[in-house]
Amino acid sequence: MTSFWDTLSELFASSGYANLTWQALVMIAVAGVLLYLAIVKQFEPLLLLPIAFGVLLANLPLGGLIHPEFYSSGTIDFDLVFHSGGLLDILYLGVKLGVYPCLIFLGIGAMTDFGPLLARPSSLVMGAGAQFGIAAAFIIAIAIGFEPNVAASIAIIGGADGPTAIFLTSRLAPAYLAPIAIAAYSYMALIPLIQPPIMKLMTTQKEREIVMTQPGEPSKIQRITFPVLVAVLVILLLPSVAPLIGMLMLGNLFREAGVVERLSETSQNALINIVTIFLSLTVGATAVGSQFLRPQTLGIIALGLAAFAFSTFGGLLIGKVMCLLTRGKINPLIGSAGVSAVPMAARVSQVEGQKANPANFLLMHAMGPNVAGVIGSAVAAGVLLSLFG
Amino acid sequence: MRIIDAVVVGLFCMSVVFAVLVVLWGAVAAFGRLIRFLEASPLGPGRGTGAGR
Repeated sequence: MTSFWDTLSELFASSGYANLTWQALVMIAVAGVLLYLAIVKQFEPLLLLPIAFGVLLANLPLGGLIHPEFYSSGTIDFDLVFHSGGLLDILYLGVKLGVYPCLIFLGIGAMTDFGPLLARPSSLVMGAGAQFGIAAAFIIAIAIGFEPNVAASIAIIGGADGPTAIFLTSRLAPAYLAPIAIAAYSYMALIPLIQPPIMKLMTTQKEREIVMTQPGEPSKIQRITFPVLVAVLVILLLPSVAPLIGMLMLGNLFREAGVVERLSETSQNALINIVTIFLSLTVGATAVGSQFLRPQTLGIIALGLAAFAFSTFGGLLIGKVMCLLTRGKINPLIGSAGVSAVPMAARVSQVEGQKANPANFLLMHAMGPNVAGVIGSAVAAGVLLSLFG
Repeated sequence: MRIIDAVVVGLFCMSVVFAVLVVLWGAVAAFGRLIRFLEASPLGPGRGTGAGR
């Protein structure tokens, strides 16, 4: 009888229940909150749901799905990962090697219509202005005391582009990947709450009421040559962005060429969905309690919000300048769409424009700065990678 | 890193982003005009084939 109780006791001691720490319990609660936000509130559910489940799986003791300590040094010990790693260790290699964000960019390229940008190329300047939050957050992060590589990774949250944030952080500050990715995606979901007060503060009622005229439709040749032109110009100027811009433009060429329908279809559906599962799950799984629950995480979350707010401010500022230069032909509200977050930020411009003037349809006009923001944030990531990589 | 250095890095980053996107603006606008010009010229699609008759 004694041996039976001994066996039971040993069984319990070797189970996850006996090995639960307070950090693991807190992280399980965090996973629960994220699952609630994804399922009930529908905040970016495609990303937040697998991230939340990754957080849950990584914090159930002894599961052995992922071993963050394998990646704590600068180099990857492939032998160790392949022989002693769990399922998520193997999948995490795609994040660590920067493969998933680039494949996601391929899908985004195939999904993105650059037509509004081609019709009004000046939108590119608004896409640049809306990266102001990256610079501002970097300066504040350094002032708070973060290391430059970590500050750069935090600052890229201001680019409002999840794959770019993950790409840069996995190279510059992998230990901070989970809080930065979670902050980036959470704030993207909160754009309809973050941006409108800043938009109202920065613009007058008269400016918000401006009705923009429809620019001409770009030709098929323009659409096909655009991705080739951007790839050549940007990669020659800034080689470090080659993986992101190269894949983005390849995806767009699939879409516009009109001769590789199957590749375009696969990139914008099956491929991006599969990679999103792998990416989100493994990013969530890096949120292990002992690493996630530290004072810096709160700093990252606060700085991420500041970065978003400053980026919105920068985009609107350039929008106002463009409004002045064109003598009121451009509604400055479309400037805030320069933070990437496609198409959420453009929708916010549309909603705010219609509140000011129900006859206002800014969506297609805002898509120009919106897709320019994707290029802008990738360029900013390339600059930071060149400086701190 | 000192705050002054961070300000320099921030300004540099923004300058490069602006420079790259302004170059793109110029290139896209110029290329668009060139394509519209070529399409309207005798080299344009359908020209010289009798398709317009």
